[in-house]
Amino acid sequence: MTDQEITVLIYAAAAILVFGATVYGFLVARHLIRRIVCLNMMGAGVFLLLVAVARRAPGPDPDPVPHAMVLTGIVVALSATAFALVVLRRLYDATGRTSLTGDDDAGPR
Amino acid sequence: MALVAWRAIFAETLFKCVVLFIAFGLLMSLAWVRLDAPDIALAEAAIGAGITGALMLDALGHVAGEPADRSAGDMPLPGEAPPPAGEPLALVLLAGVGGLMGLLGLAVWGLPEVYRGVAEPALAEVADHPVANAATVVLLDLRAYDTFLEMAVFLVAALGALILKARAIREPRAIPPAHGSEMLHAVAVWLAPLMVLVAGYLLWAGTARSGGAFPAGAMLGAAGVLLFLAQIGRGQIADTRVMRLLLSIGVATFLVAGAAAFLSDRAFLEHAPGTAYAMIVLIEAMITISIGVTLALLYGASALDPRTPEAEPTEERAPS
Repeated sequence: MTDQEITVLIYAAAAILVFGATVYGFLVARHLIRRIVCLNMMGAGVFLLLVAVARRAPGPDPDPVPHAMVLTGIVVALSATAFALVVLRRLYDATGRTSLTGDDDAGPR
Repeated sequence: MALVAWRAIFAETLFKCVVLFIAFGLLMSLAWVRLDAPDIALAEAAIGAGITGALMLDALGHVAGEPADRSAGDMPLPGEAPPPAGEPLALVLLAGVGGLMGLLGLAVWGLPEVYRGVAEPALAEVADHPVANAATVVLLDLRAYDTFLEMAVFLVAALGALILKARAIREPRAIPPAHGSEMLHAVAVWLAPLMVLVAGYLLWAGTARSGGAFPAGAMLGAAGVLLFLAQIGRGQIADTRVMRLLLSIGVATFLVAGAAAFLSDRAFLEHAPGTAYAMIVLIEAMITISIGVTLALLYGASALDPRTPEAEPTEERAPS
């Protein structure tokens, strides 16, 4: 294995770990901010995987197409996050709740 | 990094969770540099760690009520701890997630030995393109359609935030403590023009080296947020006609470019031969402005309570 392949493997493994951990976190978290954070990090894991794989391109430069996709993805993730946070504020203002579960285990007021 | 993510997920307070998320973003940008993706590193540091973090902290402040000493956001949260490992539900979840990770791992492991790359045909074009930064070429020429739609998504998000803000319940709330801090004001006055300058440089550099519209736009947005916190020129940042124009100028430029291409018998967004460089720089400048303004607005829309109009006269500072 060349150095490059090892680098790719390390980062791909980290990406998969992050992704798996965040999927789990997303499923068990109740508070919506926590869920939004998890969603963001989940996206980051996917980006990392994409770019790590892009590094496999032959030659000195990585493949620019995944890079462009990730740049686009970061911005889209940001807009989605910002929108989600605004919606969360509205939810809180309207109902005083910060989670979507029933009232019994609703988050802090 | 995976460790930081893990700690962020299971941090016992929300505040810790968000701060760890920011740290995670910074680590990510280091990883980007290591993976030879400086463009993404810049964007991640500014957008992922910076602006998203600011937005989250702010939303947290809103949701957790007034400042931290009301401790709502600082207490261990009921229902927040992960279910104990013995519970069947947790076990099933863990197994599912493990299976998912295994599949992903197999997918990566099973990649063909030789990387053919999605970009092989594209790269040939990149090589003799007037713009030297490969990512920029891909974003704005070869895959301009994606970027166009992305700008549209961005615009829609901003509009949604603005609409929700306009309809938000009008309750008086304390503005962030930055209110009236002379230090912040002084720093912002000096820093903001510099940041605009850096944004301009990044934009220009994007044609040849790393940089480009997204990092530049993020820089511009950060400058906007800074001004916002220091409460300079709130009148301009408010939702006005000019703002709306700036907001949509990126998408508008794309549309005009696309329409022009149609009129001269080319495919949508295909640049005329010889004008590609100029077009790209133009479009990039426009979307930089749009991104910057949108980011500042997204922050503003969610950060400030919707009572700007009355407050406006008192917000005017002496010209400096």
